[in-house]
Amino acid sequence: MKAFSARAGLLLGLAFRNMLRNPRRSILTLSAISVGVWSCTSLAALARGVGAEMARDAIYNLTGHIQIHAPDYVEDPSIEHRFKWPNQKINRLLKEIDTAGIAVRVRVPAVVASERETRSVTLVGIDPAQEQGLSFIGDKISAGDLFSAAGKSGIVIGRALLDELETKQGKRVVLLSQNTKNEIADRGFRITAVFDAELESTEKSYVFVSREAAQTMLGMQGEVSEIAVTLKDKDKLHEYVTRLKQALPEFEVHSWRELEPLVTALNSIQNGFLFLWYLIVIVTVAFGLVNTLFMAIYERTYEIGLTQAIGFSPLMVLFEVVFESFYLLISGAIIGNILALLTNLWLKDGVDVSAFARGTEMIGVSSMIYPDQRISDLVAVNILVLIIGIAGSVYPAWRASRLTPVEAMGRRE
Amino acid sequence: MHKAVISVLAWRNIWRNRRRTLLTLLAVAFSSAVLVFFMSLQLSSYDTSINASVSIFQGHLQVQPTGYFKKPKMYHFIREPRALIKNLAELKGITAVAPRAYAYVLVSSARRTVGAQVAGVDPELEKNVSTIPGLVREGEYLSADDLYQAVIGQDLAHNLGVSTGEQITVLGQGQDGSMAAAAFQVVGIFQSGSRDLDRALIEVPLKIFQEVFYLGDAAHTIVIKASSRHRLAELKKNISARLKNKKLSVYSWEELMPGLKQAIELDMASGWLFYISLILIVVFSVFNTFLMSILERTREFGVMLSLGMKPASIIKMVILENVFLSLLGVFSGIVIGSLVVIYYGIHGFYIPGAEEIMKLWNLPTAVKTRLSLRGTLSGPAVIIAANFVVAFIPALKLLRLQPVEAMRAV
Repeated sequence: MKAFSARAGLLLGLAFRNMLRNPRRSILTLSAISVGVWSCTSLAALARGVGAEMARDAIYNLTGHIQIHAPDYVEDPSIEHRFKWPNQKINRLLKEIDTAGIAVRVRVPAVVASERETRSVTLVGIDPAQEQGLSFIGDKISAGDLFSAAGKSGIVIGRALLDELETKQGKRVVLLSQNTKNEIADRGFRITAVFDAELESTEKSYVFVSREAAQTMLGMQGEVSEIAVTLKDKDKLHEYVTRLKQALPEFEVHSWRELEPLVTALNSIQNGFLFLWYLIVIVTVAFGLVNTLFMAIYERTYEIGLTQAIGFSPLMVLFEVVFESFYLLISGAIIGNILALLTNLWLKDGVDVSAFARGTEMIGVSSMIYPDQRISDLVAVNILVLIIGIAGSVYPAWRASRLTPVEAMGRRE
Repeated sequence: MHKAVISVLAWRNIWRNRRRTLLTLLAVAFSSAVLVFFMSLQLSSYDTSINASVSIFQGHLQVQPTGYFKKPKMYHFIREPRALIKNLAELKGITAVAPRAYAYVLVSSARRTVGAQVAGVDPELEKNVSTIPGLVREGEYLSADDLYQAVIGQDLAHNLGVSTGEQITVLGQGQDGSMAAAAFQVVGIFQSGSRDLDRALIEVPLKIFQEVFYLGDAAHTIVIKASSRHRLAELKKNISARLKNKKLSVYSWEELMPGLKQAIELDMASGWLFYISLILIVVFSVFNTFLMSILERTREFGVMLSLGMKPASIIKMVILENVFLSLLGVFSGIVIGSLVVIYYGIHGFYIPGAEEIMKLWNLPTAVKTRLSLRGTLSGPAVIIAANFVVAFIPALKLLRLQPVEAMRAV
């Protein structure tokens, strides 16, 4: 055992000096490895940033982490699928989990008409105090009495919708929607505030009134459409959703991942694509590494023969080469990781892609992308580079170990 | 003669170390093939997505009242669409023209009320500019231009809880601001694969639309299908010249769907971020081998110099070696990449779990990749150019080479 560790020490030392013998070549190989590691991790951070932004926007866009509805609401979000509120059982269950916020809403399709134009929208009846910190609208309209300022008939609409309706703050619009008796209910509201959202589609999709006003208009007294919940600890999402699903079979409980399939799909595609890309880049890096090792062995043929003549076993020669490759890989990976961290630091204020604003709008993200460097990506890239790099270097190492001392020494010019 | 000798020398030189050359070639070929495949996949997806978006409903070009697509107002209309259609139909490069009128309405069935968009279409002409008539899954398309018939999207039908043969009531605002209401019989339900259309579009005969919404003989847009997507700028100019009415403008699909165009540009830009990083790595590795091959031949170059060969000729020779290596690698890469593209062109490239995203782009679940000059050559061209440029770094060192010193080098 002692002998083995002594040998390993000797080989590690030899390999390290070997790497330094042709600094120019080693630096070039190192650069290729670093660029590979750096580009993989940095690009992953950017791609994850897009995904994280999408998730954040989706959660903040009235979704929350968990939603509770009457059965069939998600498939068909209409007034038919409503439930009685307050509900003691739900209240008790929500008290047992670590919620950051709970918002109870009326949420039904409706049509809004100004003097000039008509648009279809989603009518959301909210309690502004509950929405604070939970959804974008809570933070947009901080004054809780916006609705009651106009005698409980205030409405808050998005800037883009205001333009489309050709109306102004302070003017009246009419909301039309189906009531609980399957008749069309209509009621006039005064625009008490206008909200700006990151996505134009959000501004066009939602109009907000107070929950009481919505309930009165639709004949939903004592009834609501949905409960949105945000959690303090996002990692408990799965646990809590499962618990709520079991405890509330007479309701529909969904996590935001189920409600936003696009975000979830993007995430899984990213996982697949990024992994494939790591493989491609690292295999390309490995070609260069293998080539460098062959050159190094070729130069040292005489020397290898000599070491074998004085008692190095073929296995020792093999390890000598593999160790050299290991040094190159480790140093390349370290530099690559440092570069990636620097890149993330440099881009921490976000990458502005507003030149493609309409495009980002289409996939549902705002125009700033913040790198999101995940430990799992760093680990994956570093492990892959080591595994594929070492695996590739076994080939030249094996060739080196098969040299016979006499032949190898005879090759000296 | 001299040139030929240099080429032959360069060619032989790259095969002096067969294994090194093969490994370098493999790296270049592998990365070129990757670039060819990914870029072709990207371009094919864009093409499919654009074609689908254009052919389902939008058309290549649309004549509209200036600014209408930003602010679609009932009272901004084309006064005499029939005359204009006749006029445009004569233009070369146009395969079909059709008028449309739009209104936002509240649509009700016996059970439900939702918001939707009504499009008044000419049942005959519409078939030539849009694929919706052919995408009717249940019932049939509008058969006459003077019946209160409607064809609606599948998700809308689901939300309303109606099937063919049932009545829907449409309630909206007429052109003059008055209330407009009418009942239609659902004759067909279409499934276009586009979320927006399936969820919110109702097509009714234009004549009836004009009656219900007090539009007279007017329309809001004229949809134009061109014979090819690639010469729209010219066609647009020709149409513009024919629009004597200054209040009308012609818009291309890029202008009508800026989101699609910019999303494609963004995707392409982010794609290049990935490609550039791969190219950088290949260039490093080619540069490394190239540098080594020059350094180990210092003595040989010294001999050549002392025999009277000019430094410029030696530089030419080593640069040629680099070009041969790049070309050979890139060429094999293109061949392999193209074969993969052809394979997925037949079988379709399927991305598991991507159905929702594909739908957003009007894409089928399996994209058929197509070979194109741009997709095949862009990536490899950058590799060759980058290799060529960095080859000068070690090559120019040869200018300072002194024969005597060089020959002493090991």
